[in-house]
Amino acid sequence: MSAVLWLLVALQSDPLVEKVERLTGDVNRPLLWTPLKITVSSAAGFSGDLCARSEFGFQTVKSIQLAPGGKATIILPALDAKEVAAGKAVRKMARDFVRPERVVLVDTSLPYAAELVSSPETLYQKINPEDLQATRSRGLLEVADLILTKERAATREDAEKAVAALGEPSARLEAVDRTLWPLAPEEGWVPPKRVWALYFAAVYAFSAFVGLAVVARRLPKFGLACVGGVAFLGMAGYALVFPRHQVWVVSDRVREVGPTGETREHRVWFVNAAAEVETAIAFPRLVKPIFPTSAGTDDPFTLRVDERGCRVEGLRLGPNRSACFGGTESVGVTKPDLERLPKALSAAVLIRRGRARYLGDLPAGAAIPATPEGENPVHRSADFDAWSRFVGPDGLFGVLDRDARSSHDLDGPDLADERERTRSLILRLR
Amino acid sequence: MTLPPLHRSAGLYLSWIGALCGTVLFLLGDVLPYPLPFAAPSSFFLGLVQVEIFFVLLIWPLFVPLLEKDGIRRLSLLISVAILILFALPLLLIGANVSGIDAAGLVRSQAQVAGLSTLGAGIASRRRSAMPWYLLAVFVLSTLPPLSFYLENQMQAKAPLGTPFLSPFWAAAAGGAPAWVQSALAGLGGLGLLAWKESAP
Repeated sequence: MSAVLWLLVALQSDPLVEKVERLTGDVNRPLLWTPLKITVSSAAGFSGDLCARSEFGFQTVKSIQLAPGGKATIILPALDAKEVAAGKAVRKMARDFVRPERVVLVDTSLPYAAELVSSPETLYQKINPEDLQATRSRGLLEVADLILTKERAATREDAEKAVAALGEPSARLEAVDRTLWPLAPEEGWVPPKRVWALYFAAVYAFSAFVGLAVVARRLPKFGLACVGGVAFLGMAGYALVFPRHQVWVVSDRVREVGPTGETREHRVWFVNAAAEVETAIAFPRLVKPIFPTSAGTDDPFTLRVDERGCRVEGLRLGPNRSACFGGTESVGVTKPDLERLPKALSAAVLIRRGRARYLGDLPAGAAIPATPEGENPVHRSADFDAWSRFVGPDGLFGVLDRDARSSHDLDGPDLADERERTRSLILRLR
Repeated sequence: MTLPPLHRSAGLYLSWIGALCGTVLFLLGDVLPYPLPFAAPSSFFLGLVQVEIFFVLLIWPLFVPLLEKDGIRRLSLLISVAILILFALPLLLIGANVSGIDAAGLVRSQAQVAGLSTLGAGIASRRRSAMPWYLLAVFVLSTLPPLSFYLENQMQAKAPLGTPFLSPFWAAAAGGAPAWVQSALAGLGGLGLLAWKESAP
């Protein structure tokens, strides 16, 4: 009897979220990805979503399948998670954070890993190589100021030197960033619809003129057929060519080259709709929502994480309700030339020791001035304002390409148009 | 009922298409040095319908005597109304697509245009002497009830001049029942006028 009762109780709480830990330590950095390592078990078997609900009003989700009596450990990206849920099981996230100045992730396979002891200033968070590999390539370890691996610091001395050399961390895309939002398009029109409507009106008026004033006059018997023909051709043209959907996306791409050559690529997508719509969009990389205020969103949506990218579901958009998503990927390491420009830049702005100078358009190979002194005043553009915090106190920002071009990175049932607006370059010189 | 050659009334159709296409070009073509605040996708369809209503209320009746001279009389005028609506349909499909208007909204708006143009045809055809009064009535109904509503609604002023839905433009913007009621009343009135003379000796 008691066994039956136990089974009933177990089934009621099935599946069970056994354990949740933050891979990057219990630090409170709510605007950055915090990968959660979640252990889930199920007595009766479970197939469904494992989700981390965020204080920002959305949830990240991963589909899981557990055999009866099965157990799994899943890494789920989260932003300021308040609870983790699987089926009816809900586990509140503890919020007893430590508040170190810097977070250093340590690969547990390093021989000295166990010797590193956290202090109030520095948190040494141990992470096993498998978790490190699974999370690092997707940009999920952005909370960490330093990641100690065999390549970076093979010995404890190297590690201590690396920690001592830590300066200001480079800027990351954050879940709340009001400086990026001025880049959002103000116009509510789906661009190809606007162009097609204009083109159509001009051609249709001309066709009507030809049909009525020329053909119908010369061949009066066919006047009515002529009018019907013009109208039919207009409707056929609409049916064949005119875009149907209401969602359109504009993206910006910024390549950031650090002083040691490590290169990251930031992409920001502004998702807009000309009419009220609830839609889904698949992104080629893991993206986080970027809100203009810390209030997050009142319209909950789901960010479904897959092996490579992610899919935003239940996203409500409208003429006055856009969304912004951004993602960063590590591109690799290149040997940077900190003296000369690798490519031609327009609207370049140089920052030296925190002082900015507008350089304007520069050809490829132009020398990068060593000082900010010069005749040109500071020029404030929307692009520079949005990305200036990524440039840091010593760096160069410039636009590589401003020709909006069609891109086909996203996928969605309501997507009418997708275009990449600007490509910019950030050289961090120190 | 025979229809005379269509090119004789080409002026009407070209004015109609010119007004609608001109509206599209004006709204979207950046012809002014500043953006038009009302040239938004949500109001694009309504903009086209308002131009249609303006045309059928105030310009279409002026063409009716010319059509009658060409032999298009009485109920044959409805064929011209149908041609007007057919001609406008591709542009309205685009407008409905842009503004997210469903098929019911499109049909309702065109029913209102058809009803108002039938009324205009009836009055211009059978009560030509009443045309100045018709134009005055259109002006009064189009402007005063909405103004009264605005004063009452926004400034708490007591200016009861009837419901704003008496205005064809307001009814088109509101959609739903007012547009249907107006199209039915105007259409029946216009048909009555056209058919009444039809049966007269």
